[in-house]
Amino acid sequence: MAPDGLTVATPVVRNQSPPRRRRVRLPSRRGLALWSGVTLLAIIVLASVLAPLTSPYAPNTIALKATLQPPSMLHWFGTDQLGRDVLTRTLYGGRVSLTIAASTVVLAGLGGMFIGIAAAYLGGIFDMAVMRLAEVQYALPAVILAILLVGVFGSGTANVVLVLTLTNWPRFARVIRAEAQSLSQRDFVLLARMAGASRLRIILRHIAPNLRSTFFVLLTLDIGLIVTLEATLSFLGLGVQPPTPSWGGMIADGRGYLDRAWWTAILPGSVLMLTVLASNLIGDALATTAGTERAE
Amino acid sequence: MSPLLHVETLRIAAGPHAPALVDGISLELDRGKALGLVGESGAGKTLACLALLRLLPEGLHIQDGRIRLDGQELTALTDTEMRRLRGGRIGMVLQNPLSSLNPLMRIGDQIGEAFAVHRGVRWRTALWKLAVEALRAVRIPTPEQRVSAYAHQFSGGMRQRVAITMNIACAPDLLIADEPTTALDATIRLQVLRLLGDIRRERRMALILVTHDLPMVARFCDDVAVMYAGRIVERGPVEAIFANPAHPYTRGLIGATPRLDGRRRLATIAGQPPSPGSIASGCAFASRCDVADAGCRQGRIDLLDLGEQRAAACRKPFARPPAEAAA
Repeated sequence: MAPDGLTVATPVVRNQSPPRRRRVRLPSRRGLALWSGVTLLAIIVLASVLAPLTSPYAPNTIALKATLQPPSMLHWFGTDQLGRDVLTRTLYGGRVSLTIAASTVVLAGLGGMFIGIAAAYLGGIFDMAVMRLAEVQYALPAVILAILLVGVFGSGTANVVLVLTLTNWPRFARVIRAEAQSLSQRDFVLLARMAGASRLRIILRHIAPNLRSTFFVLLTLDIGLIVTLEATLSFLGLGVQPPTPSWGGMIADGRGYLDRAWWTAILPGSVLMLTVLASNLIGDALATTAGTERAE
Repeated sequence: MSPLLHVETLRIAAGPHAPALVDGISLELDRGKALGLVGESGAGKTLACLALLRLLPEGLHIQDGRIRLDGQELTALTDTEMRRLRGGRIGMVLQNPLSSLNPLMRIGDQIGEAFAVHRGVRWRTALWKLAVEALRAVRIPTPEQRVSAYAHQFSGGMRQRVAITMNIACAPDLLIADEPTTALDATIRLQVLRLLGDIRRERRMALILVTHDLPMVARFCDDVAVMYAGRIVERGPVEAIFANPAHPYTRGLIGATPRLDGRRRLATIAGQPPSPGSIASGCAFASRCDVADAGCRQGRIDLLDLGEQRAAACRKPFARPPAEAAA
């Protein structure tokens, strides 16, 4: 210590210090969430897609001698009341549920994005009409609306996609519209207008590309929601029709055997839950990344 | 010869009965000349410029007046015709270069946009070739490599030069620069201004420079127009006005310019500019003016021709406050 109370810095001689151990870089919390979500979803998707190749059972083969068997080496998820392998049915159900979710998300996403941009850019009566319709749909619980629409269109896989698209476009449309509106106030859009760019050109080159991070965040967050909605419809018997396996349908079937054979409902339910969890983990992580990007 | 730009009694408001935000301004600008448009924030400088491009913010309209560019009446054009003019014959540069480029577009594509819109150039290779030439003209080093970069890889001064490039790429007759250097630091500011000056001379382009910076106007402009509360209160050649301002507001502005050698306190203009519509009659500056009398608060005070191409909207041009006159 120097007498005047100031600390004298000792010069650090780099060359003589022992070589520093390279630190293992731990992923950030956001990175961890993202990658666990991606891994989880990848496992579920892969297992479902490959189910016909890997599963020794057929999803609909009835074996009345082996009903309601608990999980074992032979039947990892046990068997249901008709002796069908629950794991096989869960994976085949995943094929159906995930296909429905993916098609719905793409259709509702693209439709909502198109409507949202059009509303933001055209404004006026179109904007009014479309956004009021979206708000009315928001006011109704999604399931009630979906049930109503199934009543109109009938059940079945294709109709479920149609119904879920019709119930889910407003979320995309509203967020995209707000984002497009705020983008169109940005200086680079004004500058493009000053350079003489047309409306269509501004939408295609300046607004739409800058919406992509928002779009993908919405997309991933929506997958979980749509998987749940589809399961709800199938649970109520309004979605995918038996004997085609679906997660919602399996939970509905297994509900009656919860006291004797919990696996028939709980295990497909857990896979459903993990799918939703994975989608939310990915969506949240992307939302945070996109948010930080914007803040920078 | 008729002037390149002729603005007559331009009035901008939210509606026919709403208070005017720009109240009957008239301007003339010859080819190759530079006009400095100065005034406090909210005086209507930017609105007047946006009106020239017919890009007023939503809700505001040109209520009255005429804007002629090279004899062509802009207020009568259709939207499509007006769009062809923007970036083609009139260009505009904005204040903040950091936000005026699209973060997801390569510089070459962004500059190329002007060529694509106005010259119908289609292919990226051709657009980039034109962009490289345009970048070279604004003295961006190694433009061949720069065209493929994104905006975030450029510094503020370079981004402003890119924004300028975008708007002069198609050789406009008139460039409006709305505080082009406010967001830049002092050395870059000079570079950008010199660049604008050179381009102006080379291409005989007229320039409207909107700014708070009076020394900048003195150095780079031929004429100056001082705006206050939506009106032009004084206009004329730069040297004459800076040597002997006629309007008390101009005198106040010049007095409020900081000097490095000054030992005296920086002069200020007391009070605040009036909000639109709050002045019923008389001179809008009367309440802050040190030579105003009762007569200044009545009637409408129009621009008064002072000779030597000068005009001021003041009843007592060149008047000095009693204290200063005695000293």
